[in-house]
Amino acid sequence: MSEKLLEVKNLEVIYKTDLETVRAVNNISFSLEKSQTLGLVGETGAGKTTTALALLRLLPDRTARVLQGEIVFNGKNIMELEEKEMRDIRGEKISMIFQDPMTALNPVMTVGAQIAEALELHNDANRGKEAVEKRVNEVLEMVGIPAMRKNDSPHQFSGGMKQRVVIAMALACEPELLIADEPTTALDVTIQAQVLAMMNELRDRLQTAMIMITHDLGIIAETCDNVAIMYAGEIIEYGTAEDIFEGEQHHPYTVGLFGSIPNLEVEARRLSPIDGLMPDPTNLPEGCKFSPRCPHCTDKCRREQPAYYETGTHRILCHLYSKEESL
Amino acid sequence: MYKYVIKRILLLIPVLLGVVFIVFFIMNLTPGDPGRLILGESAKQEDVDRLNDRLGFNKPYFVRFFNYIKDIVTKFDFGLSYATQKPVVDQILIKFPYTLKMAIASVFLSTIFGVTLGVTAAVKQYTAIDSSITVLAMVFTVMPAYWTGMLMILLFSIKLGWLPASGASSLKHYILPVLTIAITAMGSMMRLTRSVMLEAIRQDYVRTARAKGAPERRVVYGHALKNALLPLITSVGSMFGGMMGGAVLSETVFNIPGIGSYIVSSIRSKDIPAVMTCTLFFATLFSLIMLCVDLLYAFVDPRIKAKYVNS
Ligand code: SF4
Repeated sequence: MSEKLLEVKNLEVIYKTDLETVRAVNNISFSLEKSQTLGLVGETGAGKTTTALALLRLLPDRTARVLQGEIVFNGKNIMELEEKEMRDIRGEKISMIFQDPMTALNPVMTVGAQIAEALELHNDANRGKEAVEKRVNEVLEMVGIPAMRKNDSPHQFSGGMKQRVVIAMALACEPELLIADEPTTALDVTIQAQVLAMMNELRDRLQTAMIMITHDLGIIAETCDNVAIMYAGEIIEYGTAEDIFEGEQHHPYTVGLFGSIPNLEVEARRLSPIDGLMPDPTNLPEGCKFSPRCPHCTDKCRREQPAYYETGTHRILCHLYSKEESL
Repeated sequence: MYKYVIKRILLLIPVLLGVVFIVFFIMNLTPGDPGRLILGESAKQEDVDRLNDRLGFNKPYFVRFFNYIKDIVTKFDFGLSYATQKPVVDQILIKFPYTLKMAIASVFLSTIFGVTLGVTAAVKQYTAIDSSITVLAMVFTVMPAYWTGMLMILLFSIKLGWLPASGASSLKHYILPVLTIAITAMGSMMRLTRSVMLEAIRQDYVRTARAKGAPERRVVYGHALKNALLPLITSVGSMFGGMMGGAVLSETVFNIPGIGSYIVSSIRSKDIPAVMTCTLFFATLFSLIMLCVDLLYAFVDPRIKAKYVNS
């Protein structure tokens, strides 16, 4: 086993407004080792982005509350850090790539200036102006953009190129952890593959650990060592890619996700729709949160919150298996 | 880019012609003739008639309009003031610096305070700070300038005796009039800044900047405000233009010999060339300011620059 880079323990996040309380992330735990990739899968509203923002402590501070939980990064609980120390982590140790490259770049700054900003903010090596510019050229070339385009503004780039710029910006300081929040969803299908391949290549080369947030099982199969499947703010199934794609036992939601479970060799499918809707996060059902949609639902499921059923590296949040045990 | 500028400057010509035409027309409707105005009530009618004739007043409207334009274009001659019989342009050049100084000072003041307070309110949305700033902005906006001016004179000149209430002989004399104009403008600047900033700080690129590790100040002023600048520049531009007009009020209240009070006294004495020239002067100035605003856009926003270059 290699070293733990990140460990999230019992994280619980709500969004509170005068009118309602949204229970976005409910008691999730996971960990990530150096240069490993974790996939966070789930539908929109499952709490993936909230989890990611919590890791950077970028949750909107007016509404979001972290009720409990520890986020240990490199041995330090970042929930306890000063804002100043947190800023040193953001962009340098942990970077994030956001979903929509069209809006993620500042339209009135040249792309070069935006990349240089990241470098200047974390200028531990005391690079001079020239060294910063040199590094900007380097990272642009690294993502396949000619360095001479650094003086162009975002509107002069296509969507795929913009996302490359965003990736270059995120990797400029060689972070230890890269959080990619649906990095390819907003792109054309043909561009998606290119960008993804490039990200994988860079991750391997730079030895960056990565959290890949997506709802695309194909991406997960291609990139991830571990997979966490989220539903209604919980990780309902967690395991290695093998556990998830080839394991025997699964959470009923996962089964629904895959439609039928494909293995790694067969091309993984996109999410197939499951009957019913995600529960209203302001009013989650009692007991198992998947119970209203679950084909195996029992009385116990409606009453009691299930506990994890664990076999080796594989965890499933469901009564189905623990019941079998007790029988 | 310079092609665009030239195009814009050429476009000014029809605009200004239109302005002259309208003002000329309105002035034409007012009763009275220049001969009588220049020579006074007691002058003999035949002298008045002769003068009217010499001034071309008896020619048809369009001929007079045409001559007026011709004099301006060929000789840069805007006519003689009826009251002083001196070229109006000279008068304006003497008076304009007063108005300009006041306008610049108040634009500066209201922009600095308006923008900072507006940004603060937006960043601290829904807090007591935000509410106080919003209320203050509202109060500032609804107070009419002549009323604010009067109150300030009452307080600072009459009651406390700190500042002079009228004239323009020293720097001190400018404080009250500048404050008076600035306060109203500051109110609307605060409200505008707050609303454009509220929108800007919710944008994705602001989150990107935070994720980069940028400190909050830099996020707000470097990223969000830079994007909110476009509407702000427009507003500062038209505020500047508006202040020239606002000078009419404050210069009268505070008795400052600028263009504002000149225009008022010219209207009173029916000094048509003076009124015409002042109006034309303001119109040109305003158009030029707005042209500058448009050009500034290109500096702030590369997307607009690209449009200008391509057009
Ligand atoms: S606990 Fe019950 S309702 Fe929930 S997923 Fe398992 S079987 Fe379905």
